[in-house]
Amino acid sequence: MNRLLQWVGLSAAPRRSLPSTQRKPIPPALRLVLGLVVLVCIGTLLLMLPISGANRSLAFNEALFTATSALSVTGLTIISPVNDLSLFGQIVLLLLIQIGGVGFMVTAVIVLRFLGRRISLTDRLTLTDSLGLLAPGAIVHLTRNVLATVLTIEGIGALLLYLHWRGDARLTEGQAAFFALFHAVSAFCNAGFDLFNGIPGYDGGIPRDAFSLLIIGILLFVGGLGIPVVADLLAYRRGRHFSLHTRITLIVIFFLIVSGTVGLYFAESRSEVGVLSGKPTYERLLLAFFQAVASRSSGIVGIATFEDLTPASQVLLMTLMFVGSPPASMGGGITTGTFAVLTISLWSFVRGLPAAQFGGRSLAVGTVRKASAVLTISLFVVLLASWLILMTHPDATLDQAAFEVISAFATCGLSLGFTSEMNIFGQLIIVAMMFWGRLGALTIVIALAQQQGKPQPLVYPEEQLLIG
Amino acid sequence: MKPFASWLRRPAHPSSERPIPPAVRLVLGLALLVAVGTFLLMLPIAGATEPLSFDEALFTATSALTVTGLATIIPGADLSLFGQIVLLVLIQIGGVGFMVVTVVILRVLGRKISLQDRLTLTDSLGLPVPGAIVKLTRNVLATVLTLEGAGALLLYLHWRSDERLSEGQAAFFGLFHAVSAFCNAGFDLFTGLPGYPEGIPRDNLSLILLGLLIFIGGLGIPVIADLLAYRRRHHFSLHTRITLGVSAFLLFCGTLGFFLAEGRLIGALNEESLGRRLLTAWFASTAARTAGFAAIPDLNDLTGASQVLMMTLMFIGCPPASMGGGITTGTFAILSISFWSFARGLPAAQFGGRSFAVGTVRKAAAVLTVALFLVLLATWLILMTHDVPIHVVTFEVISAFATCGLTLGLTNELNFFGQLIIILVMFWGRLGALTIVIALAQQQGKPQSLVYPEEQILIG
Repeated sequence: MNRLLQWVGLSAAPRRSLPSTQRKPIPPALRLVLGLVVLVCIGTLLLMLPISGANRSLAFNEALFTATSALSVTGLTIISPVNDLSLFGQIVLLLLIQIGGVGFMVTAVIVLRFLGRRISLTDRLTLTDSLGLLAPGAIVHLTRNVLATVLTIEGIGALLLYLHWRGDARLTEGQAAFFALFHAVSAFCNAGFDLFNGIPGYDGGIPRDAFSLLIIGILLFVGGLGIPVVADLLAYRRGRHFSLHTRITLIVIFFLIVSGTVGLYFAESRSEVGVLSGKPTYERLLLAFFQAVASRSSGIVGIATFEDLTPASQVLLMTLMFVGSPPASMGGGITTGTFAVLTISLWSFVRGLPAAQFGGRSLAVGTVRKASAVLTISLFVVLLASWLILMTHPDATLDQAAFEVISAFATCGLSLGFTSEMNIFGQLIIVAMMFWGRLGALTIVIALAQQQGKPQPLVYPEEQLLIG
Repeated sequence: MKPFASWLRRPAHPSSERPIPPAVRLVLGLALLVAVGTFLLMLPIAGATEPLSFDEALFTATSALTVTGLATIIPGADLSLFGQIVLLVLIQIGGVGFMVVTVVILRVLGRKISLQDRLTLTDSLGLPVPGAIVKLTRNVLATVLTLEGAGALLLYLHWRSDERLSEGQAAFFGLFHAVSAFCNAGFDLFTGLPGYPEGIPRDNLSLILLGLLIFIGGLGIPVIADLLAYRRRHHFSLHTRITLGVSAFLLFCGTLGFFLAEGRLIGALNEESLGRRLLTAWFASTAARTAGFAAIPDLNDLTGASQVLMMTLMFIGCPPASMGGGITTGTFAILSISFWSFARGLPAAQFGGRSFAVGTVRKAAAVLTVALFLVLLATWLILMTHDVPIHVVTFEVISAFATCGLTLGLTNELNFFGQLIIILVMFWGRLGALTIVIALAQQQGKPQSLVYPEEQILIG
């Protein structure tokens, strides 16, 4: 293998020469946007092939929606993957999810390496951005580690699910194996696509026995931690020290999961209104816990009758989705980092401290500026999209529209069932939201707005403005 | 007057006493006023047929003092004339701000205004530096009363020809609604009158007069002062420029949005003429920013799109130190500017040849964060205890937080727990998103003397 790579590398060596220095490199944000666009186009084409459809080939809007949903690891869908896609189509879907999950920059690096091409500095910078590293380091080495970790975890998950599901009489041996692989990837990448919906034996979607929920829940959780945190956890034995990022992320996730579990448990245990009332306590706790873990960004539904959730739980889920997962993880949303910085900054401000402080460290001013920018643009985008959907769907209620839009923005994929009823305009908006959400709230704006010229040489005088 | 005043003057505070910090003073002052208002409204002579119960009086007093306008009673039917006058006075006090009232009373009594009072007033009037507070207070009061007087007169002249009102009623209604509109309170006396099944009269002139009063009241004291001083200085402060810009932008977007959404076949204004549609959309857009006068009889008829728009407008609200609430246009402007500057890669938030202090951006982010927290928590609590759809509750909570007073009809159906939550949210909203948190959290000790090392964390 090594020699093969070397050989390809040698043969590609002349290409290392430098015509590219003459060209202006495309800035990282724009590369990310364009890269995802290209992938979406390829995915759409593949899904539109006649062999991808089960009985008929997919229409353009169906293929576009599915490809975007898979590449942005969202899981919202207007088709039923198991009925409308052939085995080939399902494998394409699986690949798209995997590529969307590990990030297409990682994929690009692997492909380039494989072809023996050099990884340019701009590529490295882009990858640094998209992996959420604070400094460009040994990128290629890291990429290999990331990929190895991802595949190992997914492999273990798939194996366990296979061993568990093969005993299920409703599935054949082959189905059990493929389903285990598919759902392990879908869960680890926080995508939320499932193949059970639509199979005659499974009325309520995925199997909800305790073991399945546990395995899927763990996969979701680990996938939702994000690459930097997983790397930090793995390096603990050597370093004996967690970075501030890891500490804050773990605390925020713990807090969100506990509040989510408690909130869902109380809201849904209320007699007569709650969907879990009447079930035994431990099952209620398990389902509430699973849903709290899942809703932070994967669309896998632990509660069978999801549309019947009480409004209080819907608000809670919308909040959890909107906050989402850590940066550079499989999930979306404004990210736990933004949430943490805003909260810390708020508390430091009202305490009258000179800077945002936490755990004996101060946060840079730029971090606070970025966090407030993320929150602002997220609110803008979500409100605008909800408004547009409400303007074009006379029958839609506000709650439904807001839920689907936040779900798409957070690349979560939970749905109150409204997505499948949308017209083409609404579908396009959801596609745009998933796209925007997967890139991160600011990436598109930065790609559009970043000044190409030299940095501004002057500083304007300060003036006060009254607020709040 | 003079000798009497100087006789009343007492020695200043003993300096050993620790002064109460401004934020706590504002909270305590408003709490005290609410208590007094509740007591007055519970008097037997305040009720029309029977005295108000405690929760009704508390809700009404809070709603009036926070210039919100949400009501669990019908002021036109449940309050006697005395009660209505009390309500009017509460709205007026809530509108000009109780610190201004305090200063006026202290002045009349001839007491000295302490530095603490001056600082608190500086905060609540939204002045960047403590200046000639007493003179300013007088000017504020004079301006407010003049504008309200003019509005009341015009409304009276317009409404006296209405056959459904007696001469006296027309005069009192003119005054009441001028004050209610200028203070952006949104209480009205028409609802409940037999002749007015749809609430306030919605003929063109009434809408225009009320709309103008709301708009001017919603500009805020610093902006009005700046506008009045324009002839002398020929220069607007950055605050005035940004406030006017944002207000115009929001007004335009709101009008356009309502016009488009409600002009559709399913819209509430589908059958109206073009001019009426525009006027109603304009009024709805003006009133949504915090006044609480409904542009159409039942807001439940609005389409979902308009309700989202209305919630957004309410949430943003009015400029700081105005009659309105919300996160304020200043916060909105800073967040937008900061966001854009960040996306452009600029070193600081910049607009119109000025950059903003880092502290301003920190404060704006803090305001937005705490506002979202509060609205979500209150919504969740009400949903846990009531069986109603999300958007109705969200609408009501945002309306209370922004001291706006528009309603989808939920307030009447709330149980006592729900009412208490709305009361708290109104209270919180009128003080400003951060005041209560600051009052609770501010460190009293000496400032922290060390600086922690910086560390990066990943976000968004």
